[in-house]
Amino acid sequence: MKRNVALSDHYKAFFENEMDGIFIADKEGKIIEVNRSGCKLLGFSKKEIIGKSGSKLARTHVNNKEASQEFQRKGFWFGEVEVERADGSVIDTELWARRDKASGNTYIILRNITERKRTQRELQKLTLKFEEQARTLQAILSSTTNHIYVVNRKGEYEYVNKAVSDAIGKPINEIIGMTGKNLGFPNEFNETIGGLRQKIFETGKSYRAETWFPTQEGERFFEFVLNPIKDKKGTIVSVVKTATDITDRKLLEKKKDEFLGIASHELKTPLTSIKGYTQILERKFKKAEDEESLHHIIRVESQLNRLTTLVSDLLDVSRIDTGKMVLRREEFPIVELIDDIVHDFEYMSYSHEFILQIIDNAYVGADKYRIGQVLVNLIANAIKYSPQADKIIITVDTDKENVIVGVKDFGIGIDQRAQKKIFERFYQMNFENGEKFSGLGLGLFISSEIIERHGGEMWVESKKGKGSTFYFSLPIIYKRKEMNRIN
Amino acid sequence: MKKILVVDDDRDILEVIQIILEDQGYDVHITPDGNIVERKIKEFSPDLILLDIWLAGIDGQDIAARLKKQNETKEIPIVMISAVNKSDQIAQNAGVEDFLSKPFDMDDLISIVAKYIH
Repeated sequence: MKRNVALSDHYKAFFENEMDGIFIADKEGKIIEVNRSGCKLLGFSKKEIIGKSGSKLARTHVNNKEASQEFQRKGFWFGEVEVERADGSVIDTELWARRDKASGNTYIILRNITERKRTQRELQKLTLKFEEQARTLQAILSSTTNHIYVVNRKGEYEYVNKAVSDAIGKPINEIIGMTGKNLGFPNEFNETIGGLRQKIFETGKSYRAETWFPTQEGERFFEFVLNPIKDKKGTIVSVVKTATDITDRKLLEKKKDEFLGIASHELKTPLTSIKGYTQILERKFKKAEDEESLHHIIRVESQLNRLTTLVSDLLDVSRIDTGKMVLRREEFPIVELIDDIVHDFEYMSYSHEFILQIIDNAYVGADKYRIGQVLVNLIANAIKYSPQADKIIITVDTDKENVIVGVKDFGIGIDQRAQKKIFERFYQMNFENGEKFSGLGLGLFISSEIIERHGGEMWVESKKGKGSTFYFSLPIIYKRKEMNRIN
Repeated sequence: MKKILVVDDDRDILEVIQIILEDQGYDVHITPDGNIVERKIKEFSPDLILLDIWLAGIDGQDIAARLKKQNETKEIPIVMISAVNKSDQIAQNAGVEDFLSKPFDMDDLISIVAKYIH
């Protein structure tokens, strides 16, 4: 076949190795030259291509009329074209065509962009999905009554939801880019919440705070939770704040506190006079050496003390719940307190002998009344749950940092399962024989809370039927040399 | 004989305290009316005042704070006696010497009184 176009060796090498398909057509539109990529692209051999009309060879899915009109007019066309290959499959291509004025030949470059198109379509699908997710998220964020803010390092709001806009009575776009100060939020709010925001950028931790905040409906009390937003590398880029209106809960808590205050007063007042009269009678019977009456009145007093403890326990639980249990710390040697309390028990209890084993002693910085309450609770429990036994051993020892006190009984013991739950509030042991022990199930809960508030721990070691040892630890403030001689 | 004024709106508690403290050899005057505390102090000039916090119609904390401000009464030790939660804080705010929580043991009452009357 005669060639109209002669190619130098260089051009030929370049022509054949080009990735894109290159076609040269004559005036009539018949292909007179094609490179390897061109053949591969269409799926025909060179023989099959040469001499054929380009439009007949590969059906294009482009608006041919317009494209060819444009080409006729300008002698140039560029665009995307779907091309049907020899095997019937369709590929996406980019077509570039230019007519050479001198020869009247047309140079065509055809590039396979199927892969690029596929990626583009996938990207489009993904974008749509993202948009949909963003819309859903937006709907969620708008529908919650919680206030949601995203704030940057400078304290400027990058995002707020509808609840925020409703609460402060400003459209969202007037809030974005502003700071709490700009928006005229109260100073106290800016300091508390702004302070926590700065802390997050330093520590990366989450924080919680409660504060009043002025809204369109007046001052409301909010619980704020602040969390860092990190980028892919883990750098904190902003902070998300969510605020929940807890005004109603707060008011209810206040009412409960007031009620408990009154209830406490009203319950304790009659207890006071009953206790007083009882103790006066006790003294009288003692003087008169009326042993029988004395025995009765001591029982009354013992029951009265139980009642007093129950009332106090209920109030303590409420104090623990509202975080209002205030510790009045003082420094004292732990053994001193234990001595006092064991002494009181020796006076009251007829059934058990108390053995004090002091291995070491130390000063603790603790609320003497509260730690005394824990000891009374543990020793009273030891007596209560070891009705058949005759002794209780109290041990005091230290490790590097803590004083460790143990109260050991030889009673019914606690099985493994119950040991896990025994420090929960309202927990009461169930016994196989249906035996019940009295109480509200609050003592150990309160005791463990008291110890934890002091920075110590409480735990139990026990075997069913063999008895239990309850331990608690308290941080040591200091030790003195002569202490070891207390023993 | 050392004199103690007891102010509490519960008459039974007043009686109990009176019996216990008289038995210890004190001269005890009682009143359930917080409004006449100052008059009672003038008549009786007590060495110690035991004062309830929640009195009918008047706040014991206010009475205590007032007594601690006036020259004639500020030297008299006051022990607040109350079944109110946080009575220790209230006592501290009122500037009084001590407090005793209700219900109390007879021995605790006796020893706290002895602490302020020598």
